[in-house]
Amino acid sequence: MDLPRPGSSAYLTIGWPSPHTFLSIISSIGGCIDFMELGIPAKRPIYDGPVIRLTHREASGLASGLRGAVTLAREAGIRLGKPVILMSYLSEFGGDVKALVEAAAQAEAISVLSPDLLFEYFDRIGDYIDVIRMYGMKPSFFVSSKFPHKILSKLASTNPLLIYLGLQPATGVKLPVAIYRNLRLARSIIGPRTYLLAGFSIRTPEAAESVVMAGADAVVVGSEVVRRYRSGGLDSVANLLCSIRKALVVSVG
Amino acid sequence: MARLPTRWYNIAADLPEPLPPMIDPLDDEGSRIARLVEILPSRLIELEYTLDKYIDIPGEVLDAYMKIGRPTPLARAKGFEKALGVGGGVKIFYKFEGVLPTGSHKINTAIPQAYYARLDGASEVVTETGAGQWGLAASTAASMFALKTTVFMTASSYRSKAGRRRLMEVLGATVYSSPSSVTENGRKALAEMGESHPGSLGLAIAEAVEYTLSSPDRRYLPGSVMEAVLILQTVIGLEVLSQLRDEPDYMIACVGGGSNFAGFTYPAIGAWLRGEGFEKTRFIAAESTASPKLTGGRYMYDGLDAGTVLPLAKMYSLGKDHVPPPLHSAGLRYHAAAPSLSLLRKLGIVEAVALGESEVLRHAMLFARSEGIIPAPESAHAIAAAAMVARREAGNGGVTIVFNLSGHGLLDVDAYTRFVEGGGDG
Repeated sequence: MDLPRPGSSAYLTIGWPSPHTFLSIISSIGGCIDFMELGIPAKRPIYDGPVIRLTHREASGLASGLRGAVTLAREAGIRLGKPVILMSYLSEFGGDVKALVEAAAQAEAISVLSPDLLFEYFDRIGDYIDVIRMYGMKPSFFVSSKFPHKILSKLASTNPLLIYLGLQPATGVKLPVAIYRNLRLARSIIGPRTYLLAGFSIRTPEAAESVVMAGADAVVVGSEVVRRYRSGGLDSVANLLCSIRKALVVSVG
Repeated sequence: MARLPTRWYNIAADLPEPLPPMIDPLDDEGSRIARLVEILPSRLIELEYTLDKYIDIPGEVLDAYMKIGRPTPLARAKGFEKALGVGGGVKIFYKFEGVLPTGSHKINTAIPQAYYARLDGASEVVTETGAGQWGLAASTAASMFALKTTVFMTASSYRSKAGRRRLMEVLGATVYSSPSSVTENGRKALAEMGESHPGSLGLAIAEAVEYTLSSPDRRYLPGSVMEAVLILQTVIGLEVLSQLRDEPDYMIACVGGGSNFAGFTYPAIGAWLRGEGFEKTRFIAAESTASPKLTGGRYMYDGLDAGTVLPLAKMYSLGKDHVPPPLHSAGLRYHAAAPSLSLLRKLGIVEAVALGESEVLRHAMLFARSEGIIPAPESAHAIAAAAMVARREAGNGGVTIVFNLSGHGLLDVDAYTRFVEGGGDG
């Protein structure tokens, strides 16, 4: 399955803020995104910023463990009517790549993205690619803005579903990082065909537009979804995501 | 002919594995990473998170590099070879950063950092220092860009390295003994151990960062460990590439937090990683047995400072609360090694050796008497390691060793006095 260009997506931690409300949020945003990222609540979400870290903490236990999270993710996919990418720290599976991919398959996701795969389990990349293809899915990779060029190029050569570039040092945290220069360079390294998803601290349609203009194929919004839900409820979340999607389709598409 | 580089080098772009990012402590309801924007010059943050392999050096920084006397010389240590009894079979060269006005390599990163702080509109820069090399460099660079300076100096060095402290004050800096009563972190340490607390670099960093955060007009200048600082030191190694006639068998430098070692070796290691030479070169980090993070530490996420005011980084570390005994080589007392250096060590690309103080100072004196240069005790770790390798290789012939003489020891009279008076003259 290929993802649309430009594309817009959102991230939610599975079961947050409660399984019922989680599904309500999902039901309200289906028309505002092209695909969805759903995170399995993690004990150690080390690469996430404070907002998403808190959702992991709050969701832990609510989704009745891994099995409950997988069931909720599958239900979410059905309600969305859009592709789902499962996100999980590989450390949650004790580094067991097969168990991770099986969870994605059970959730009927199109891929599974592990933020810690390349940084904590670098020697398992080959296994991950083999196993995920065995299950009929394409690999996805999370990379940071301080990343070896040769490895970035090799990841692109595996024909992945996507490469996710974290624009900022943690989710939802904005620092004076040269995100557009980094994006342009990442694009030049991976070539024009590899799907480049950008995220971490995208909060507005204008920001999403600029990121896509700089070379990303799609954006993902996470922390801002949580903030919007807390401050304005379901409508506020849907308004944000619909306005981002509209901006991308009208201005860039 | 040595050339002054016009770009810095970022080894993260060439590493064989991705560098684990800095993280917040998991129980942090805010974000240490987010607070970096209130602490560091913004361009330094940009460098910390750049995908670029090379970064253009701004014109004003290049002018300042020329003004202080870059490029520095690469010289052959024929007298030292003879003194070691390896003349002929082993050639030893040293890059001499001690010719710089503050007497050490530290000025290479202090200049761009002060420049970046001024670009942010800061009026004051704040930092920590061990032996005083970094504090002196930061004070000098701040003077060059018309900024005030506040330095938290580890207590043991505040007492023993009075010369460098005075020079910082001459340059207009305010110097506090750390732990101090100026910050919460300092007061807490004083309450725990009293006035006899020798201080540690981790604690001095925590104090400097806390002090920085108390005013928006201040910026903290890190002396080592952060990847951006390592990048800014690569002028040393880039010059070396243009000065070497042949690729050496060994490149050796001392390690406190890693900026000296990285600045000297990373351009060559990068060339090797890209398949552009240096296949036979072994890269050796010389650390102190008092703070043996690379030979005795654990590879883990740990605090950059004792107070965990800054984020956590994945490094070889002895633990952020490590308080080493007072040491002549105070610049090597840091508890951890920079993330990229730690990764290179984990992968076996960099080797490490820990050396005791007596052995180091004995070789420092041998070097002084055979080369006419009194080395800083920190830099003498590289000298001792080079001597160890030279003796081992003496029978093999055709071996070349290059080390970084990162600073002179003309302000380390206390260290040499105690060593000589203690009968270490040998």
